[in-house]
Amino acid sequence: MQDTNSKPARILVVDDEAHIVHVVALKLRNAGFQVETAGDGDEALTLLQSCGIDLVVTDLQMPMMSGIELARAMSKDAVLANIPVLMLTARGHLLRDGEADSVHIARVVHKPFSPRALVAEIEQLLASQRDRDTHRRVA
Amino acid sequence: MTRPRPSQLETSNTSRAVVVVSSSLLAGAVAAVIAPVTIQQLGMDLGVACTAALSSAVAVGLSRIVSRSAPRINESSVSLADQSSRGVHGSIVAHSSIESAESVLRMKAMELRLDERTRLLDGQSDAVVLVDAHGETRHANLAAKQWFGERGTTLGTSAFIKALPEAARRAVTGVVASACGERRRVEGELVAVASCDTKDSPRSTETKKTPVSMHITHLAGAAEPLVAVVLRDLTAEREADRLKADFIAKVNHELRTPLSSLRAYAEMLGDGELADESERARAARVIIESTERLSALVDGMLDISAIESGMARADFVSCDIASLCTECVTEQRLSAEARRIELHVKQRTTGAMALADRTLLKQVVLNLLSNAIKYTPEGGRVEIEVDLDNLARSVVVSVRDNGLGIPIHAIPRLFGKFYRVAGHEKVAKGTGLGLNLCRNIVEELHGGQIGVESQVGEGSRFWFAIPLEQAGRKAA
Repeated sequence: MQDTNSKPARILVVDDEAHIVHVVALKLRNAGFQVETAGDGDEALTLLQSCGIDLVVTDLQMPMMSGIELARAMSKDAVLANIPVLMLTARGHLLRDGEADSVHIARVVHKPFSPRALVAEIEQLLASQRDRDTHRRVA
Repeated sequence: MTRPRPSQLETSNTSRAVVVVSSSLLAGAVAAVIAPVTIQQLGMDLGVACTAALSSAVAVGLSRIVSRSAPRINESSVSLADQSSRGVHGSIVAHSSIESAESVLRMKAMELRLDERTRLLDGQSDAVVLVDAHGETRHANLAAKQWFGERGTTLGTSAFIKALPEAARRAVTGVVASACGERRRVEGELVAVASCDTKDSPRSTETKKTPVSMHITHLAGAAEPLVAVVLRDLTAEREADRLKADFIAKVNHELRTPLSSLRAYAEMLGDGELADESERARAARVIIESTERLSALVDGMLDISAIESGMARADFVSCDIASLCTECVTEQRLSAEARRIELHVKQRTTGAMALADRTLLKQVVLNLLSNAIKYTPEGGRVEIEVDLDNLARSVVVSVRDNGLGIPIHAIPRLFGKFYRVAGHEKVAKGTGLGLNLCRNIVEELHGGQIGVESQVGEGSRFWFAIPLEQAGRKAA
């Protein structure tokens, strides 16, 4: 669950499948997160620049700009590079060796996925991120 | 004149046989690669020929062997056969002449067989190279010369072995040192010099990496260790593997997307997270849509697979194409009206008949109409036209729209499996199989043709043509 002492994390959900975007957004809102949605990579990058996003959930296979390309664009931006990315992929669609690490993809979740399990993954990722931020501030 | 004694004659002929074996060793060994004829067998044949009494039947038989390629020899052999059959026996001179002629005949017959086998090797698309224990090339077929150039296949040099990848070189060395019949298979990438590299032209710098398989075999029966290296170009196989993997990845994605919706909405319903009535209604709609999409995907793949494998059964009947199109328009009218799209039928001909599977052809027309309606903005216009191509003796059905249009770069891939024009996914759902199925039905099953002309922002014309039913050729 969300840390009740802090403001809710803002999650960006990116997928060209409207049904997936809708159901993931609904689940995340029910879990107490703030949610932004985008139908493609370009729209996602625009929102990332303006919305103070804490975590991105993106599909891998999207037209125009794939999830990898979106993550790569984020990794080249000094501010966006620190935002964790959770990638949704079809199982068996393997990322090339080192590809996930090179573009800072924090987690990969296979489709079809459980919304419940997805929320658990997001909460773990955000907790790790908070720990890292705390260590950075202390250092 | 001193006549040679029989023993001297015998020795002399044996020497000749040895010379024959030596000079033909290379070609004989190559022949051994592809036929169960070994150097020893060839040598034995000659030895037997040198020592055995010559019968007229043998002489005539041999003369037949070489008659087509060596008429001069043929004449002498027939003469020998005649002499023999007339009972010219006992004369050492005659015996000597007969044995010499027999040796020549044997040589010619063997040369003929070797020439045939060289041609057989040169006719192979695989490169075949014979290498000895020192790693020197003893024979290279035409394909090998094309791959490695004249320099790379020069006989008596190790240029060929040096051009092989390290793993293949090691395998050749290992096979040479092993027992006869030892085989190894190595795969790798070969940097072969282009065929323009010849003795007369400077070494070409144009090289290409080719995936190859190499079968390395220690030949049995050769007088010395000889290894056959057979190289096969795997480019086509690798491309087929790549296309297959690409297809599987696309199927995987297309199947899992609706499955994800089903899984997610079912879980949300089960967990009681869809408290709102409208959300529950939406979930039900998504579940139904997803199952329909999965079903359409599986149907499409099965239909295409059946046509591509030749297993599809088409039920050909005489079809009135204009009436079939009118039926399809009637079925699509509600969808068109829902999007305020004008749907028109334009018949430039009536009564055009074709031998066709009515159900499958209707599927083609419905698919083209439904695409036109989906990708035309509200308030647009879609028109179906039936016309004759008298020159090609075919009926042409065109579906025109003033919709989004298709970029020119997308057109060559449009009828492929799972191809979606970038940006069109946002406009309408689809399996990416519809147009591929249309092409299969029209071209593979009906011997017709399908195509498209389009301009972005102005619209598209999808058309197909199938042969008109010829007078007297009716459906069974």
